[in-house]
Amino acid sequence: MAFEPISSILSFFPVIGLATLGGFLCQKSGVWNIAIEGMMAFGTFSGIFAYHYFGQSIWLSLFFGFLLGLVFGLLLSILCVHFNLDQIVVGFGLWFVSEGLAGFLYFILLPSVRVSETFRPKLLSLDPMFYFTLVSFAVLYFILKNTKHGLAIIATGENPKAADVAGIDVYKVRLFSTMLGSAFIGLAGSYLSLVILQGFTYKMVSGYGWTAFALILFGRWTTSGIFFGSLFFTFLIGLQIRLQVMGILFLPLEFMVIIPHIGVIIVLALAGILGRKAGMPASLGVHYERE
Amino acid sequence: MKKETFSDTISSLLYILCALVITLGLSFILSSWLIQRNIADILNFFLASSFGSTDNFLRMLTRTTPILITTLGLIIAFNSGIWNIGGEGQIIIGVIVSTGICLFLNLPPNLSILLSFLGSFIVSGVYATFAGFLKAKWNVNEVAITMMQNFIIIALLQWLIDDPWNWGVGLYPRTAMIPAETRLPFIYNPLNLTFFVGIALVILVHFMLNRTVLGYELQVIGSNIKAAFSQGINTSRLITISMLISGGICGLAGSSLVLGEYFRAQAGITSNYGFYAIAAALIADNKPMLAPFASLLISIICEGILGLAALGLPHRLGQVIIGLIYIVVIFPKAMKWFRGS
Repeated sequence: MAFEPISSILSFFPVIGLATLGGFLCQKSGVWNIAIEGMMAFGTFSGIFAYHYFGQSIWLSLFFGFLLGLVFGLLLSILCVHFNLDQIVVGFGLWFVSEGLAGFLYFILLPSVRVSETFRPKLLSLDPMFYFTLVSFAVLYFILKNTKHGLAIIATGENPKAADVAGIDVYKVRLFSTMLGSAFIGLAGSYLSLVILQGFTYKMVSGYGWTAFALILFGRWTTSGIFFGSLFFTFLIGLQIRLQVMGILFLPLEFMVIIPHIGVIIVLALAGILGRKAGMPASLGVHYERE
Repeated sequence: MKKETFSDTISSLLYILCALVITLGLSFILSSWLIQRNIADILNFFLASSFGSTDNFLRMLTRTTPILITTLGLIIAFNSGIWNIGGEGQIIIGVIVSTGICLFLNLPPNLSILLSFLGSFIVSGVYATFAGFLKAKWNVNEVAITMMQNFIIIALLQWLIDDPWNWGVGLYPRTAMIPAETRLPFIYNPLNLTFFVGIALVILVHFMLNRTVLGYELQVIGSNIKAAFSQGINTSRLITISMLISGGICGLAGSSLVLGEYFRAQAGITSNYGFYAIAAALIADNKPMLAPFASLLISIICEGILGLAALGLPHRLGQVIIGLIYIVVIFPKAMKWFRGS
């Protein structure tokens, strides 16, 4: 049982890791995804919704969260990539719409649902989603590093014009990356509600989406950077929750919960001040129009 | 900078109005289906909560005040191309500073009021400048920083009203009321003098943005920061100043909440105004003169949704509608065919 504390901290990894990975995929292809928080919030709702209505299976519910993430990704990419709307404003709008919609629909459709079963099978007292997250990072690393598709994603984020000349369909790549990325974010949300907190409350994401957003900047748009960043913040959040549960409060409770947020500010500011070379995709947030 | 013609302004205003009506209409149709009431009922409850009686109307105007002031603050940052989304935290700074000064300093009342506004402006401005300075100096993303600051300041307020400033009486944690002499007078209860502070700020901000060198420079870095930099404009100084003023004005919204509406600090005092003001700034197309109408609209929507809560419609609907507004109001800017060019 010596492994128990560490695994209970690590069990939070899918939430932060998958959300960061999803947002990273969107940004790598050149689309700011500011709505991570909202997409996660809708994921928390859709997971619980599916759990209640489609037979009480965690696997199926997680998949449903993934699917609705796809839908929101489609929406984001239609608005930003095809209609050329300001990506930051659309991101905010989607954040509000999805978070509000989650609370609204939960109030109307689901009185109060609790998830009673635990997610199995477990290996080293960690559930499958933990390993899925690890594998996703590895696969993403491999794809971006070694394959034609990865190169296409990077090229659309850096220089869409050149990518277009090289025969890459910029719109399709951005659509695909945004949808898949948002689906991962939705999955992270439904994992949070189904497995970790086992129920839904309004605003339950409580800033983890924004943490994920900041982690992408902190990781300087590299797969390894965001991987170690999210691992570090998983430890920070897990430690904070664990200390809180054990009643060790070296700060008032109100300040314990914002330790990760303070951490984000410190690391972002430090990364800026130490002047590590910014790896921001050159065309991030820039609309591409074919001539 | 391209000057907009009058007909451009009118057509984009008309568009925004249409978009708002369609958004609201669709939301009402959806919710009437969800709670099984007819549309007329819903429309009735929605409008009655703002226009049903003098009292309701004044309450709606009262709600407009903090939204208006925050909108003006954000407009300054948006005009200079900075995404200040820390409005929520900056309002709370104003709330904390004003409550602290009025409750604990025991100064003469007039001095307390003056110091509250001044202190809120300065503290909140400096607080916002932190993000502005990081952006100006090291190009740190201001969206992430201001958002994280929001979480921290919300926690700070929560701690203050839970523990050191807690008054102990009442259902939810809050501070004691500030002394009666430090409260700003009502024009006509519940509409407070702070409403006119907001109106005065509209003129002030309009003047600053359009008639002063500083305002012009801010608009220049907003429209093309690279060109401004190569023209020898000190962009990092301007970014810092823009955030200072923007955050300061948002802080004033917090003072107006304390001195003119609640007379204390309590949980959820900002009711998301910091985020709703972003929508108002978008509706106003970043023009200070249009900000009163935009914040009036947002306020009508907020009140209307609270009215609909009587029909059993969750008030989260307000958040959904405001989110939709964000998206629909920026359509005309993106679509060239709309202006026929």
